[in-house]
Amino acid sequence: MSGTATELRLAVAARAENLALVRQALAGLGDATGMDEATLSDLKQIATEACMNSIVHAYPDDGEGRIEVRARVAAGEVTLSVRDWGVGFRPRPAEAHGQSLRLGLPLIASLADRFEVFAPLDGGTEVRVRLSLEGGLGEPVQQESPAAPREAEVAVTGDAARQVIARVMAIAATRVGFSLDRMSDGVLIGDVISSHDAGDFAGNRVGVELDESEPGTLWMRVGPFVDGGARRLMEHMEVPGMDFSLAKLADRVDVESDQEGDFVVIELSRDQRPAKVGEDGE
Amino acid sequence: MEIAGEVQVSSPAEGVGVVALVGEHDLGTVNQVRDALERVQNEQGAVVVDLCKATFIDSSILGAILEGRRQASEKRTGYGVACDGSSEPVNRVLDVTGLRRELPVHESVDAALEAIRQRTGSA
Repeated sequence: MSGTATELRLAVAARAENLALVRQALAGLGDATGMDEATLSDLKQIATEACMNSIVHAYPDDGEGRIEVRARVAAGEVTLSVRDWGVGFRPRPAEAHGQSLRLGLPLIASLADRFEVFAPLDGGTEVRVRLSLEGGLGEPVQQESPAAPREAEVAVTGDAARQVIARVMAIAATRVGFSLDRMSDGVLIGDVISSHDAGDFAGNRVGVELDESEPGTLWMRVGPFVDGGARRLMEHMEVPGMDFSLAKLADRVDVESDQEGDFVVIELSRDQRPAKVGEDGE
Repeated sequence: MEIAGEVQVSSPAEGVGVVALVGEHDLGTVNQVRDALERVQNEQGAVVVDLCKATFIDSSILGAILEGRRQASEKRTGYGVACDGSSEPVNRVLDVTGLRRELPVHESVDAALEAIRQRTGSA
């Protein structure tokens, strides 16, 4: 398989008897490319499930639609695409179908290394999967999941930051039970964050993590920042011409660092406590 | 290489029927499988679905097997599934979907029959 790809393109009428034909064509491709038995087995299973989905759901009335199956074997992997031009993905009552049809897509997702479903512009549905050659059998690989946020994490680029962060902070403040005055404090701080130079944030994304689990307290972690970005956000909170920083509206403002970079942690309580900003009483 | 799916029905003992799936089974044969399961359930009572000679099954067949189990549960009749592990594709589907444990799947028709006997005191 060095260097060159082997491709199969097959079009069949959307009829159940053609599922075996699709599997046999893929078996031929597997034999021709020296594909390992385990990967070929998964490939045939996935193709069958995807084609069945088209037969049952995409063309529910006439059963005479077109299904295109494409497979490409190259560089240690096989990619498969199953495309139809039917009615596309639509919500449907669960009770209208047997249990089998709820097993198909999860089964594909379990067997494939990568699984995507598209709604092409010219209609229908396309399922694309990728499988690594060799070692397809065995238990599905369990990838480590990213940790759950404390409550919510939002990261926005460009002009959208102002609107998105203002709305997210408003609903968080409402859930904490802020009064209108206290909410306006939060909005002011949110405005400073969302209007801050996005270039100070890692990846140019204005990021805020929110947590409301402490009763009556809205906890925010802003960042991660590039070098010096957290300090510049603190400076940004200072009101020009006045010896006042919006940070004083918060109960706590600290700069923290972890492996991702620097963060500004802000806590606002429902009942404002005396401001304590940093160790120098800033 | 078995290609065409075949459904074989037998009755090893009074009150129990075995529906054996031979070869490849998918949406093209699912109605045959459903019909056989329903017929055996009505005529015999207890059913064993034998997957030992199946070389391929898809989710429509799994659905038919699950539906058979649901009906057996409603009618309070015995129901079991047997798979001796000789077909890797069938093993794979049973394992990935979790149905080997959920159904559960026995290693032979005899083991499935024994499990039905123990549960129902019949067959």
